[in-house]
Amino acid sequence: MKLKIWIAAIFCALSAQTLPAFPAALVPEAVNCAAEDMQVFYYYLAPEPGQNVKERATQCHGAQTTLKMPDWLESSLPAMRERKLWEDPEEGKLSEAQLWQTAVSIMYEFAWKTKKTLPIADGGSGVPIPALESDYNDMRLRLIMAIDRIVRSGLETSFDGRGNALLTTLNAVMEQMDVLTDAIAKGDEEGFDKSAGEGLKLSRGLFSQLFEAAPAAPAGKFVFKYTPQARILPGYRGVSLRVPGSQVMFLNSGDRADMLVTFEAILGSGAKEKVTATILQNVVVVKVYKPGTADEAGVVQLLCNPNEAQYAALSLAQSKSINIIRRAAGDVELRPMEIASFRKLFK
Amino acid sequence: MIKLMLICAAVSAAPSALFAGAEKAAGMVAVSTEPAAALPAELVKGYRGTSIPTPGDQLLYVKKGDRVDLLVTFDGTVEKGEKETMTATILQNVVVINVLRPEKIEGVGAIELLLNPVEAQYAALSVAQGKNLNISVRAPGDTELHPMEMASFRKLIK
Repeated sequence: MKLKIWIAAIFCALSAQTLPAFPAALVPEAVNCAAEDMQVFYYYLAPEPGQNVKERATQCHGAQTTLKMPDWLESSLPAMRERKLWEDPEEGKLSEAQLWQTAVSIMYEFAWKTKKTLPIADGGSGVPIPALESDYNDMRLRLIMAIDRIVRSGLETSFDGRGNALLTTLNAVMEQMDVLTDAIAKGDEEGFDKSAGEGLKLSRGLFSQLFEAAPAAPAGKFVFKYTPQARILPGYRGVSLRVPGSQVMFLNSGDRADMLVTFEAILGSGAKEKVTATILQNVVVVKVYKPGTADEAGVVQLLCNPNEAQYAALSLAQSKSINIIRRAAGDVELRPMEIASFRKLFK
Repeated sequence: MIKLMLICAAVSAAPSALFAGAEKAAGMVAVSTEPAAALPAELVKGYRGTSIPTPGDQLLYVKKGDRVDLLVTFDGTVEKGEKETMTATILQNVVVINVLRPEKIEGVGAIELLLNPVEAQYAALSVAQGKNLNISVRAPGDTELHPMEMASFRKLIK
């Protein structure tokens, strides 16, 4: 009886080609297999996946020594490659398959870079983790952008209905990328190992999802369970501004805001007049320090380009008051704004 | 090697021109030209630990090892001898080697920057001449240098 159950279990596993769950550990096997899975995934989406991709020998999937590209995927791919969904200023028109490919290629790069941190005896290069800090930060940023494009292209039903589930896994990778880059910044090697292991496990889980049955119900709109941390981006500066507590009480990290400055302008006649200008529009709030009460000083750190940073600093020195006004989620529109003055209003 | 470079029409102008003669120095900025990618977050030979008094709010999100730019706001002399407040990015891509945060953000703390001797002079001048100093934090690994035009409301609002 036991033998029958065992045989039945093997049969089921092979027929459905469900891949086993993977441990979250930063060990050579995990790194190599995550890289292999992501490479195969990437080539599945390529214009002409060769026979060696469609039927690939593997040592990464337990008893399964040959990994066969799922039939449903092979039949879905021509349409995925045809459907152009995103216009990129540098890369041109990108297809549904290419949008996913970008995210998968970053996951491959993640495994490959992580392999470099392993000791030489384990097949790595023994690269100190801090030496890869900017690489991991760069991957984090590119992954956020790649996933954002997939979501904005509405690909929840992609992959024969598996899009939403794949995005959920990628969203979990985003979270691990935040944890991992935080750990590097703090010099926390143990934290790095843990989050890198989790990231590799998620990569392998992402690949496994291609071999799982599609959900019965159609996918709804994808909702991020984890929002990536607002951080200072390369080319930008984190500018801290001291503002009244009342200005920061309802502001949160990740919000987009405009900055208004009130100052005394010198008119043509030489007379002074108090005016208010919207000096910065659509800037990201990186961090907020909220004081205990609204009449104490608070601090907001804004993500500015170097020129905006200068104007923010100038505003702080020049102005009578600074106002930080919140934008609604997704509102990134820039408007030409005329300066407000009572002289203009009351004519 | 001189690490501080003045980018302007009058490169040969006296360094103090940045504050004293803003009409000559219009568009002039000081930038570090030597990529300091390999510099550790500690005092090394050839550099100076330059401590700058800084308001607590500016130090809240800065830590040892960060790379920062130093912005100074000062009253420059413009046309017809008129004064105008402007902001310049006086130092770019400098390494923070120590931070002392005050108990309250309204208090004054200190930031120690790893500067070469010429940069140290400009930092000292900025402290003495400037109305305000701002520290802007860079992303990890961002060591790029930008030629920067000074900011003034007169330029912005015409």
